[in-house]
Amino acid sequence: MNFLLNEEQVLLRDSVRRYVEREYGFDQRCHYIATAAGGEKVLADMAAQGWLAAGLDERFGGFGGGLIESCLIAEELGKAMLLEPYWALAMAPTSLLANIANDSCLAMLGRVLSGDAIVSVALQGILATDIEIVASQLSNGDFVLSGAGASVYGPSHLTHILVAAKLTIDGVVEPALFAIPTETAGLSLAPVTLLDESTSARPAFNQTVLPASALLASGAQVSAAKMHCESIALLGMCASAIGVAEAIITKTVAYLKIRKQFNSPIAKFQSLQHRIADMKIALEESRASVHSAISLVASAAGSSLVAVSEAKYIVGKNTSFIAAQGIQLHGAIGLTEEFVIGHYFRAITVFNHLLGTPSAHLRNLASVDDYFDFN
Amino acid sequence: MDLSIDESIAEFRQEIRHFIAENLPAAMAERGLRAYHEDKADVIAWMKILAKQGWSAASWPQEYGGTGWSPTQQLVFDEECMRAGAPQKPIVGLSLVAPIIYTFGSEEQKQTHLPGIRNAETWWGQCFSEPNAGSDLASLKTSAEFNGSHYIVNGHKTWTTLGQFADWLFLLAVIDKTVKPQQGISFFLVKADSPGITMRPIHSIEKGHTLNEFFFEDVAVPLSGLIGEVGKGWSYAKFLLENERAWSAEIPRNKALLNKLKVIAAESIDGAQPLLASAAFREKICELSARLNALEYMTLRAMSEQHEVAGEPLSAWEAGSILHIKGSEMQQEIGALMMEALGSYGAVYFPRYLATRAEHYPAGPDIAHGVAADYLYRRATTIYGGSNEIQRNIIAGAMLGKF
Repeated sequence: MNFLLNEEQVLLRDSVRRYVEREYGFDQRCHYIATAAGGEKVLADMAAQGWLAAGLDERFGGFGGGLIESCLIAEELGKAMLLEPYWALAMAPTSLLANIANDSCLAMLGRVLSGDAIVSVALQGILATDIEIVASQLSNGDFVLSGAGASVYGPSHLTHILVAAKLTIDGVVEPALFAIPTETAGLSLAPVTLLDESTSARPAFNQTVLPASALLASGAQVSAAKMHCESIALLGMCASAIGVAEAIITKTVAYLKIRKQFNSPIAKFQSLQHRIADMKIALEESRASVHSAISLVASAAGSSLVAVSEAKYIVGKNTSFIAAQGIQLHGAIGLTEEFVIGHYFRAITVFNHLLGTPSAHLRNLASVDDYFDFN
Repeated sequence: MDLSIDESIAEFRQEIRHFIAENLPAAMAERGLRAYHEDKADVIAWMKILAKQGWSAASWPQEYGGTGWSPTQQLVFDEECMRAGAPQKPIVGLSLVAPIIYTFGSEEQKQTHLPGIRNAETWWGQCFSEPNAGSDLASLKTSAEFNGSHYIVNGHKTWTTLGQFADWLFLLAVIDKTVKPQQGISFFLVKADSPGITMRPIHSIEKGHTLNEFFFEDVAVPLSGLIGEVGKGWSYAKFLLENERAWSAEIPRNKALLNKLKVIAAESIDGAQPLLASAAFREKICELSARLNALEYMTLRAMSEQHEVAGEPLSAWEAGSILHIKGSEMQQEIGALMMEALGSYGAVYFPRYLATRAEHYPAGPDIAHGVAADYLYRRATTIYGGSNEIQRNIIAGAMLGKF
């Protein structure tokens, strides 16, 4: 293993970083929220910059990168708390489609990479045990879907959602993946605003009829690819939470040095120095936990789900600590709507509640018997 | 960055495991698994076995007898040794002073000292701390005055780990009181039986003896005992501590401790259900396990960065201090859970384990041997090598810079 970024990785990271500094400052973000605008531009920019393909192999139209590259992007975009989550709108759908890689999936992937389609996957996280949406086929070849139970993130500008369902044909049940236009009649996709101003929606199907062409794939490969995609989405979320945590630490360090009380910059006070050190330790531990999960998920090792749960747990707990201390070290200014620190805290709060809370992931780990093997 | 798992590591692990199974005497392994402090004879005997294989100084540069193993391979080697109960490495010589000698020493010093360390012929003790210079190492008082042919050392050093076995000592002494400590301290190698040196043992709370004080009274150190340049002792010591911290996450030991925790938790103690049946206790183990896994990746990252950027200090993210803090706290946390799992046996004093007197042992599960002593001893981990408070100062200092 080599942990140093190579030249291309540094260039990629720096280009995302420059983009965010130029186009997505805190004021700009507030403006986008106030005017409900900006999403289309950001999504078009992501496609134009090639970031959607950054984690894909060349044969799928990518640049030969992998999870490391897409997590680098997620982390940099995370620092700006992008309202259009990269993990949901880029990492999850592209990995799912590239993983199945049949003709229908590759056609859809091509549309995503060109920016022609904006797609989000209905995600449940890796702790969910069952697919709750059911599908059946009509005699004319159309499909009928019913149920709800997974969520899409960043729904505002979507053209399609990718949904896994339990498909019953001739009494045989198997997992199936559908690409569903968001305008489909009988699909309810009411957006919910989350604490950090990003949005999600829980697609609900009520005897929703889809044309035969909506079916992308079926069979065991769908379950495997979906689980892999859930892992990728979780790691992308973790990477962007790490970006938020880094931004908190940068802001807090700067504040400690300029804020004066008792005739002294408060950075002089050892209790605050030790707190900022603990924030740094928590950050680096989070990063390491994601590195561990990346190495296992990328090598498709059997233990990768455990590593992903570990990462969600550690990054969740640690970034909560960092976000809370970010407010604490800023004092009351940290509680205000006009100051960015409180917004970071909300972003971390949202992260902790999506796709399994830290305690849910810890409970999951505690239920894995292999975890307690000894030699 | 490339995090792909090296498939050949599993094979390497098997090779090491096989070597240990063939070469580690069973009685030695038994003592290693149950005891908490090293046995000098065992350490030397094991080092000689490793030396014959060319593995005794695995981490050194190959030109001085190292193996050329990757950081991951070195970790795996240590893990397998720890897992099997092999005697601990004599790290004071092997990992603390040897890098100083091969990095800053003269050709003659390398010839004189490195083979002895590699072949376990010489045991080393570190004399840095003083009664009034612990965390504040810059305030040390031990002096070395040059009399035209020798440095005459006077002073009082303490906390010398396993100094009772030492053939050689390395020490920091003030050569010029008029300048800043960063320029007025030199680094010396001193024969432990030099006239004027006396040693006093310090017994610690685990009822063991690893710590010692050394008194230096007009001890004459020849010029060949001075490392590198006069007055550079401070920067050499910093180099040594940084080097030490890269390993101070103690991944192999923490893994062995966690493994032992699971073994204890699977037993029924005091007539109660095994703790592994408790969801709350399982979660505690999971938390530690997840954090240990992250710690391993932090260690691999630090070692990879050190490996790739030759000569680059570990300061980019204060890795040395972070690893030290996390690794030391983890040893204590696992120890506390092992004690919890031992129930009433956690209170029993099991004397140091020697196979010959096993029949005099207090009643209790075998797995309890050495746990309490280790738990008591490991309160030291957050103090030695620079207390964790000092490590946090270092991290914050680097983050905050000038203000």
